[in-house]
Amino acid sequence: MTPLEDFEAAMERYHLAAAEFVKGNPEPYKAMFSHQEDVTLGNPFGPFSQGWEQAEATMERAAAFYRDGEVVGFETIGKQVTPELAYVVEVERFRARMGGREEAGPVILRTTSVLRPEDGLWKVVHRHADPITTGRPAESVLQE
Amino acid sequence: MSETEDFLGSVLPRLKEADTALHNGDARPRMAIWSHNDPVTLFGALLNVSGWGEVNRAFEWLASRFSNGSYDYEVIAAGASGDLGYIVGIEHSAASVGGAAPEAYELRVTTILRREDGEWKVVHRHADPMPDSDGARRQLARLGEERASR
Repeated sequence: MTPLEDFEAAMERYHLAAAEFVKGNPEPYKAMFSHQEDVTLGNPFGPFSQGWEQAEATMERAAAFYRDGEVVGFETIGKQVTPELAYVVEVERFRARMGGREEAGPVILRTTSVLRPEDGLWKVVHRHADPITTGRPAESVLQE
Repeated sequence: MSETEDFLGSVLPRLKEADTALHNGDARPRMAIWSHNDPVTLFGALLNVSGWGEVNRAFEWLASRFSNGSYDYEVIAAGASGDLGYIVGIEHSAASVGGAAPEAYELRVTTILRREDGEWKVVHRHADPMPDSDGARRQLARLGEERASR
Protein backbone atom coordinates (compact mmCIF):
# COMPACT_ATOMS: atom_id res chain seq x y z
CA MET A 1 0.00 0.00 0.00
CA THR A 2 1.29 3.45 -0.92
CA PRO A 3 2.04 5.51 2.18
CA LEU A 4 -0.21 8.58 2.42
CA GLU A 5 1.24 12.01 1.80
CA ASP A 6 1.55 14.23 4.84
CA PHE A 7 -1.43 16.61 4.94
CA GLU A 8 0.73 19.69 5.43
CA ALA A 9 2.73 18.73 2.33
CA ALA A 10 -0.56 18.54 0.44
CA MET A 11 -1.55 22.00 1.67
CA GLU A 12 1.79 23.31 0.47
CA ARG A 13 1.11 21.82 -2.99
CA TYR A 14 -2.39 23.35 -2.92
CA HIS A 15 -1.03 26.81 -2.07
CA LEU A 16 1.73 26.63 -4.69
CA ALA A 17 -0.94 25.61 -7.21
CA ALA A 18 -3.02 28.66 -6.22
CA ALA A 19 0.03 30.87 -6.76
CA GLU A 20 0.27 29.55 -10.33
CA PHE A 21 -3.49 29.90 -10.80
CA VAL A 22 -3.47 33.66 -10.22
CA LYS A 23 -0.70 33.96 -12.83
CA GLY A 24 -3.16 32.41 -15.29
CA ASN A 25 -1.87 28.82 -15.19
CA PRO A 26 -4.52 26.29 -14.07
CA GLU A 27 -2.42 23.11 -14.57
CA PRO A 28 -1.00 22.57 -11.04
CA TYR A 29 -4.44 23.38 -9.66
CA LYS A 30 -6.07 20.80 -11.91
CA ALA A 31 -3.53 18.22 -10.71
CA MET A 32 -4.47 19.02 -7.11
CA PHE A 33 -8.09 17.99 -7.68
CA SER A 34 -9.68 14.57 -7.80
CA HIS A 35 -10.64 13.73 -11.38
CA GLN A 36 -13.60 11.60 -10.25
CA GLU A 37 -17.24 12.18 -11.11
CA ASP A 38 -18.16 13.26 -7.58
CA VAL A 39 -15.84 16.29 -7.56
CA THR A 40 -17.60 19.63 -7.00
CA LEU A 41 -16.33 23.20 -7.37
CA GLY A 42 -18.09 26.40 -6.40
CA ASN A 43 -15.78 29.18 -7.56
CA PRO A 44 -16.45 32.93 -7.27
CA PHE A 45 -17.80 33.16 -10.83
CA GLY A 46 -20.73 30.76 -11.03
CA PRO A 47 -22.87 27.95 -9.60
CA PHE A 48 -21.41 24.59 -8.49
CA SER A 49 -19.62 22.63 -11.19
CA GLN A 50 -20.18 18.89 -10.83
CA GLY A 51 -17.90 16.13 -12.11
CA TRP A 52 -14.34 16.45 -13.33
CA GLU A 53 -15.21 17.58 -16.86
CA GLN A 54 -17.22 20.60 -15.64
CA ALA A 55 -14.76 21.39 -12.86
CA GLU A 56 -11.82 21.37 -15.26
CA ALA A 57 -13.61 23.70 -17.70
CA THR A 58 -14.52 26.04 -14.83
CA MET A 59 -10.91 26.18 -13.63
CA GLU A 60 -9.62 26.94 -17.11
CA ARG A 61 -12.11 29.79 -17.54
CA ALA A 62 -11.31 31.19 -14.10
CA ALA A 63 -7.53 31.04 -14.55
CA ALA A 64 -7.87 32.93 -17.84
CA PHE A 65 -9.35 35.82 -15.81
CA TYR A 66 -6.13 36.27 -13.78
CA ARG A 67 -2.71 37.60 -14.84
CA ASP A 68 0.56 38.35 -13.02
CA GLY A 69 -0.86 37.39 -9.66
CA GLU A 70 1.00 36.84 -6.44
CA VAL A 71 0.14 35.33 -3.09
CA VAL A 72 -0.33 37.72 -0.18
CA GLY A 73 -1.09 34.98 2.33
CA PHE A 74 -3.18 32.02 3.44
CA GLU A 75 -4.90 32.10 6.82
CA THR A 76 -6.25 28.84 8.25
CA ILE A 77 -9.51 29.42 10.13
CA GLY A 78 -10.51 25.80 10.78
CA LYS A 79 -9.21 22.35 9.88
CA GLN A 80 -9.65 18.68 10.69
CA VAL A 81 -7.76 15.75 9.18
CA THR A 82 -8.95 12.15 9.47
CA PRO A 83 -7.47 9.12 7.66
CA GLU A 84 -10.03 9.17 4.82
CA LEU A 85 -11.32 12.75 4.70
CA ALA A 86 -10.14 16.21 5.67
CA TYR A 87 -11.44 19.75 5.53
CA VAL A 88 -9.75 23.11 5.72
CA VAL A 89 -11.34 26.57 6.01
CA GLU A 90 -9.12 29.41 4.88
CA VAL A 91 -8.97 33.03 3.86
CA GLU A 92 -6.83 33.29 0.73
CA ARG A 93 -5.33 36.64 -0.23
CA PHE A 94 -3.77 37.50 -3.58
CA ARG A 95 -2.98 40.47 -5.77
CA ALA A 96 -3.60 40.01 -9.48
CA ARG A 97 -4.56 41.73 -12.68
CA MET A 98 -8.11 40.70 -13.42
CA GLY A 99 -10.20 40.62 -16.58
CA GLY A 100 -7.61 42.37 -18.73
CA ARG A 101 -7.09 45.35 -16.40
CA GLU A 102 -3.69 47.02 -16.31
CA GLU A 103 -3.62 47.54 -12.55
CA ALA A 104 -3.29 44.67 -10.08
CA GLY A 105 -5.94 44.58 -7.37
CA PRO A 106 -6.61 42.59 -4.21
CA VAL A 107 -8.37 39.23 -4.37
CA ILE A 108 -9.64 37.99 -1.00
CA LEU A 109 -11.47 34.67 -0.94
CA ARG A 110 -13.23 32.74 1.81
CA THR A 111 -12.66 29.09 0.99
CA THR A 112 -13.79 25.70 2.24
CA SER A 113 -11.92 22.69 0.84
CA VAL A 114 -12.57 18.97 1.33
CA LEU A 115 -9.75 16.56 0.53
CA ARG A 116 -9.44 12.78 0.44
CA PRO A 117 -6.57 10.40 -0.28
CA GLU A 118 -6.31 8.97 -3.79
CA ASP A 119 -3.34 6.72 -4.64
CA GLY A 120 -1.30 8.08 -1.75
CA LEU A 121 -1.93 11.78 -2.43
CA TRP A 122 -4.48 14.13 -0.89
CA LYS A 123 -6.84 15.38 -3.59
CA VAL A 124 -9.42 18.16 -3.44
CA VAL A 125 -12.87 16.64 -3.89
CA HIS A 126 -14.77 19.85 -3.13
CA ARG A 127 -13.90 23.53 -3.04
CA HIS A 128 -16.23 26.42 -2.24
CA ALA A 129 -14.78 29.91 -2.71
CA ASP A 130 -16.39 33.31 -2.70
CA PRO A 131 -14.91 36.78 -2.69
CA ILE A 132 -14.93 39.20 0.18
CA THR A 133 -15.75 42.19 -1.97
CA THR A 134 -16.57 44.87 0.55
CA GLY A 135 -14.14 47.66 1.26
CA ARG A 136 -13.39 46.22 4.68
CA PRO A 137 -9.75 45.65 5.59
CA ALA A 138 -8.64 42.05 5.39
CA GLU A 139 -8.20 41.75 9.16
CA SER A 140 -11.89 42.36 9.66
CA VAL A 141 -12.90 39.24 7.77
CA LEU A 142 -13.77 37.39 10.95
CA GLN A 143 -15.55 40.30 12.58
CA GLU A 144 -19.26 40.76 12.31
CA MET B 1 -21.04 4.47 -0.69
CA SER B 2 -23.29 3.13 2.06
CA GLU B 3 -21.35 5.13 4.64
CA THR B 4 -22.34 8.33 2.80
CA GLU B 5 -25.95 7.12 2.48
CA ASP B 6 -26.14 6.39 6.21
CA PHE B 7 -24.68 9.81 6.91
CA LEU B 8 -27.22 11.60 4.70
CA GLY B 9 -30.08 9.52 6.11
CA SER B 10 -29.07 10.59 9.58
CA VAL B 11 -28.40 14.28 9.04
CA LEU B 12 -30.67 15.50 6.20
CA PRO B 13 -33.98 15.31 8.09
CA ARG B 14 -32.47 17.18 11.03
CA LEU B 15 -30.82 19.82 8.83
CA LYS B 16 -34.11 20.44 7.00
CA GLU B 17 -36.03 20.66 10.26
CA ALA B 18 -33.43 23.04 11.73
CA ASP B 19 -33.46 25.44 8.81
CA THR B 20 -37.23 25.36 8.41
CA ALA B 21 -37.47 26.38 12.07
CA LEU B 22 -34.79 29.06 11.64
CA HIS B 23 -36.77 30.67 8.82
CA ASN B 24 -39.80 30.69 11.12
CA GLY B 25 -38.04 32.48 13.94
CA ASP B 26 -36.76 29.51 15.99
CA ALA B 27 -32.98 29.02 16.14
CA ARG B 28 -33.07 26.19 18.72
CA PRO B 29 -33.05 23.18 16.34
CA ARG B 30 -30.14 24.71 14.44
CA MET B 31 -28.25 25.29 17.67
CA ALA B 32 -28.93 21.67 18.63
CA ILE B 33 -27.46 20.26 15.40
CA TRP B 34 -24.32 22.43 15.63
CA SER B 35 -21.27 21.41 17.60
CA HIS B 36 -20.68 23.61 20.63
CA ASN B 37 -17.01 22.61 20.67
CA ASP B 38 -14.59 25.01 19.00
CA PRO B 39 -13.34 25.28 16.38
CA VAL B 40 -16.70 25.97 14.75
CA THR B 41 -16.80 28.44 11.89
CA LEU B 42 -19.52 30.23 9.96
CA PHE B 43 -18.82 31.72 6.54
CA GLY B 44 -22.40 32.90 6.28
CA ALA B 45 -24.06 34.59 3.34
CA LEU B 46 -24.09 37.72 5.52
CA LEU B 47 -21.72 37.15 8.46
CA ASN B 48 -18.28 35.70 9.10
CA VAL B 49 -17.98 34.43 12.65
CA SER B 50 -15.81 31.95 14.47
CA GLY B 51 -16.26 30.22 17.84
CA TRP B 52 -19.50 28.78 19.22
CA GLY B 53 -20.38 31.87 21.30
CA GLU B 54 -20.34 34.15 18.26
CA VAL B 55 -21.99 31.57 16.01
CA ASN B 56 -24.75 31.06 18.58
CA ARG B 57 -25.41 34.82 18.76
CA ALA B 58 -25.49 35.05 14.95
CA PHE B 59 -28.15 32.31 14.75
CA GLU B 60 -30.26 33.93 17.47
CA TRP B 61 -30.18 37.25 15.66
CA LEU B 62 -30.95 35.65 12.30
CA ALA B 63 -33.95 33.75 13.68
CA SER B 64 -35.25 36.98 15.27
CA ARG B 65 -35.42 38.55 11.80
CA PHE B 66 -37.18 35.64 10.02
CA SER B 67 -40.84 34.66 9.90
CA ASN B 68 -43.32 32.96 7.53
CA GLY B 69 -40.51 30.76 6.23
CA SER B 70 -40.10 27.62 4.18
CA TYR B 71 -37.00 25.68 3.30
CA ASP B 72 -35.85 22.93 0.95
CA TYR B 73 -32.41 21.40 0.52
CA GLU B 74 -31.16 20.17 -2.85
CA VAL B 75 -28.13 17.93 -2.32
CA ILE B 76 -25.50 18.21 -5.05
CA ALA B 77 -22.80 16.00 -3.54
CA ALA B 78 -21.89 14.47 -0.20
CA GLY B 79 -19.28 12.26 1.40
CA ALA B 80 -18.60 10.75 4.81
CA SER B 81 -15.85 8.65 6.23
CA GLY B 82 -15.26 7.80 9.84
CA ASP B 83 -16.12 10.86 11.91
CA LEU B 84 -16.12 13.53 9.20
CA GLY B 85 -18.70 14.30 6.53
CA TYR B 86 -19.61 17.04 4.07
CA ILE B 87 -22.67 18.07 2.07
CA VAL B 88 -22.71 20.36 -0.96
CA GLY B 89 -26.14 21.72 -1.70
CA ILE B 90 -28.44 24.45 -2.83
CA GLU B 91 -30.87 25.83 -0.28
CA HIS B 92 -34.23 26.98 -1.61
CA SER B 93 -35.63 29.16 1.13
CA ALA B 94 -38.37 31.72 1.52
CA ALA B 95 -39.04 33.99 4.45
CA SER B 96 -40.22 37.36 5.57
CA VAL B 97 -37.29 39.48 6.83
CA GLY B 98 -38.14 42.00 9.53
CA GLY B 99 -41.81 41.92 8.56
CA ALA B 100 -41.29 42.60 4.83
CA ALA B 101 -43.25 40.54 2.30
CA PRO B 102 -41.93 36.95 2.14
CA GLU B 103 -39.46 36.37 -0.68
CA ALA B 104 -37.77 33.25 -2.06
CA TYR B 105 -34.00 33.04 -2.34
CA GLU B 106 -31.32 30.51 -3.19
CA LEU B 107 -27.96 29.98 -1.52
CA ARG B 108 -25.17 27.58 -2.46
CA VAL B 109 -23.91 25.94 0.68
CA THR B 110 -21.13 23.67 1.91
CA THR B 111 -21.72 22.05 5.30
CA ILE B 112 -19.04 20.16 7.25
CA LEU B 113 -20.08 17.77 10.02
CA ARG B 114 -18.12 15.80 12.60
CA ARG B 115 -19.34 12.88 14.71
CA GLU B 116 -19.25 13.71 18.41
CA ASP B 117 -20.23 10.95 20.87
CA GLY B 118 -21.88 9.08 18.00
CA GLU B 119 -23.93 12.04 16.77
CA TRP B 120 -23.27 14.15 13.67
CA LYS B 121 -22.78 17.83 14.46
CA VAL B 122 -22.18 20.77 12.12
CA VAL B 123 -18.76 22.37 12.58
CA HIS B 124 -18.69 24.68 9.55
CA ARG B 125 -21.10 26.32 7.15
CA HIS B 126 -20.12 28.24 4.02
CA ALA B 127 -22.98 29.93 2.18
CA ASP B 128 -23.18 32.49 -0.60
CA PRO B 129 -25.95 33.58 -2.97
CA MET B 130 -26.60 31.60 -6.12
CA PRO B 131 -25.38 33.89 -8.94
CA ASP B 132 -28.82 34.09 -10.56
CA SER B 133 -30.79 34.58 -7.32
CA ASP B 134 -31.98 38.20 -7.28
CA GLY B 135 -34.07 37.18 -4.26
CA ALA B 136 -30.87 36.34 -2.36
CA ARG B 137 -29.39 39.77 -3.09
CA ARG B 138 -32.56 41.52 -1.92
CA GLN B 139 -32.90 39.36 1.23
CA LEU B 140 -29.24 39.91 2.14
CA ALA B 141 -29.65 43.65 1.61
CA ARG B 142 -32.66 43.63 3.97
CA LEU B 143 -30.76 41.67 6.61
CA GLY B 144 -27.73 43.93 6.21
CA GLU B 145 -29.86 47.03 6.78
CA GLU B 146 -31.47 45.49 9.87
CA ARG B 147 -28.08 44.60 11.24
CA ALA B 148 -26.69 48.09 10.61
CA SER B 149 -29.65 49.75 12.30
CA ARG B 150 -29.89 47.63 15.43
